Amino acid sequence: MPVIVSPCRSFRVLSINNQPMSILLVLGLSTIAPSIQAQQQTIYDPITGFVVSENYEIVRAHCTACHSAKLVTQNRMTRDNWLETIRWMQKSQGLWPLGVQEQKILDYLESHYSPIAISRRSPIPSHLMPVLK
Amino acid sequence: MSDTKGKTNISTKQQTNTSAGKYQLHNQTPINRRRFLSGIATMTTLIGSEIVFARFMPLGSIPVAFAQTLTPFYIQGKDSELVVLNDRPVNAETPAHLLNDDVTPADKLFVRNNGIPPQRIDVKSWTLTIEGESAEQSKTFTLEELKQRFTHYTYQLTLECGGNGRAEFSPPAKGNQWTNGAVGCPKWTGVRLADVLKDVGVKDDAVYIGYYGKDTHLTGDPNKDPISRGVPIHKALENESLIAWAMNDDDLPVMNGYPLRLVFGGWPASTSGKWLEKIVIRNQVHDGAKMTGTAYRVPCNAVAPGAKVSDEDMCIIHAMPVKSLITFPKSGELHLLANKLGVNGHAWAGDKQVDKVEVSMDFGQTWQRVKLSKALNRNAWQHWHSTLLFPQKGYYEVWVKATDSDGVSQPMVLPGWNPKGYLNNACHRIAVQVV
Repeated sequence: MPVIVSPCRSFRVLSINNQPMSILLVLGLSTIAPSIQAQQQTIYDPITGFVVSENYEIVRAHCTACHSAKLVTQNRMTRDNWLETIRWMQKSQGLWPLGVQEQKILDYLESHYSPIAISRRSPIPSHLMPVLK
Repeated sequence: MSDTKGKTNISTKQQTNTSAGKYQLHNQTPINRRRFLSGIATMTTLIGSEIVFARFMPLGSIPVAFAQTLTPFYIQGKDSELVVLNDRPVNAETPAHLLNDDVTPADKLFVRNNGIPPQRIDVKSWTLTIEGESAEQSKTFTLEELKQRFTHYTYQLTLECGGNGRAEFSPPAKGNQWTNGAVGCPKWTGVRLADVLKDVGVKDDAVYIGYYGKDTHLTGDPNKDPISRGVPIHKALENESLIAWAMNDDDLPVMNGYPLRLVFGGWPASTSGKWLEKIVIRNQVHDGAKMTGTAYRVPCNAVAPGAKVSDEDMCIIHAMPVKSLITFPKSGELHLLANKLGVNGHAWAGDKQVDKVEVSMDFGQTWQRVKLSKALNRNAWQHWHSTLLFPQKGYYEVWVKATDSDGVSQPMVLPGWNPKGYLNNACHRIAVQVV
């Protein structure tokens, strides 16, 4: 598996040229075994630490272009919060449009980096929260 | 008893070699049944979202997409706003704001069934038999004989499911995911269990009583009891321990044990057998269904969250811990800054009484003591009320904390984690947006 170590700058150029898909050409995507395998025994990418699972190479390509994979793997967010973070990066951090890849990235993040419900007390459930008009 | 102060009220450790296998049957939720019916693994995602939905939906309002697989579900004699957790066996809880009455109305008392209620109930031929190793004789009473022969007593008694609050445990505990509403305090009428037991004759070596009801096992196997629990003899002989036929001056609701049941206020409601037809006086701790294994037991010694605990290290739950509810207003209230907010609810403490109730509107930083009523009788819940004035606009939570007569109060975070998720008495919280 090729590991992307290219400087962030070059990817920014790509995004400015509106050619985000070319990253994938650089990567040379290969078919990844279905995630059923990963459920039995989680395999981690030795370089990035990402869970090796369906769509992980897409995530690796887009997310580690500018920042460490650790910024992803140390976090746990809901799908909505991951999307919000993507929008924030697009608005202020130079992340390019993700096109049809966006849903796949969110699928991956939701599958492997959702909040873990271990707490001593959770917030009051949403159906019991005030609704501001 | 200062030596037990603050400790979980459980039995002393005892050996058991019975497996907890039967408890698994509790988890035959409608979801499992539908999955079985559909037989399509790809439904999983769809069903996953349905669980979230169904939990907070009023009864009967089933999403169109599932209409073909679900019959609208109503529970006979119960308020349609009860939240159904399971429809085989039927389990439904009451949202906190519907528990505002001082005396819980029959249609607002939760339902916790372990098996299938009897289909045909003939009150005229209904009998109760008392027997067992520590009974002087075996004696059978008709319902009419019970009513004729013994003095009637009426008490307001708190019934709370041992698993009330289970939904909050983390890591999650398996079973019906009760939030706050598996509790209520109706008025019960019947005869004292002690009077009936003494009429039959209790031997000196009596240790426990166990019950058997007419409900049937989920599998339909007539040789299996859905549940057969009980209490130590000292609890059985207390004045407030009743064989009851009436709730709030009416017949018991079918789902709450019509025509006859036991009522042990302040103890896990599973000890108060429904559809009662037999009581055994035992010379040992009763070993009926759900007395052994891990059912209605907690670790004898506290464990870290998520720990594995073997059956022999699990002890039977006795009286329930101190707890309280905010039943008014309903959580999610929008409140005007200029107005005072009246808040009220109930507090109870197993076999003890509640000495003090406090509320906080700053996430537990400061507490103010509120007005608290005396219990109508032992094992009845007490009522509290207060008025709050908020300093400024914003998001608030009102928390309530009760303290029992031993000085033990409710924790603000989850109490001791246990594998089956019992005894969560963390303080109740409601959300208020001050505008």
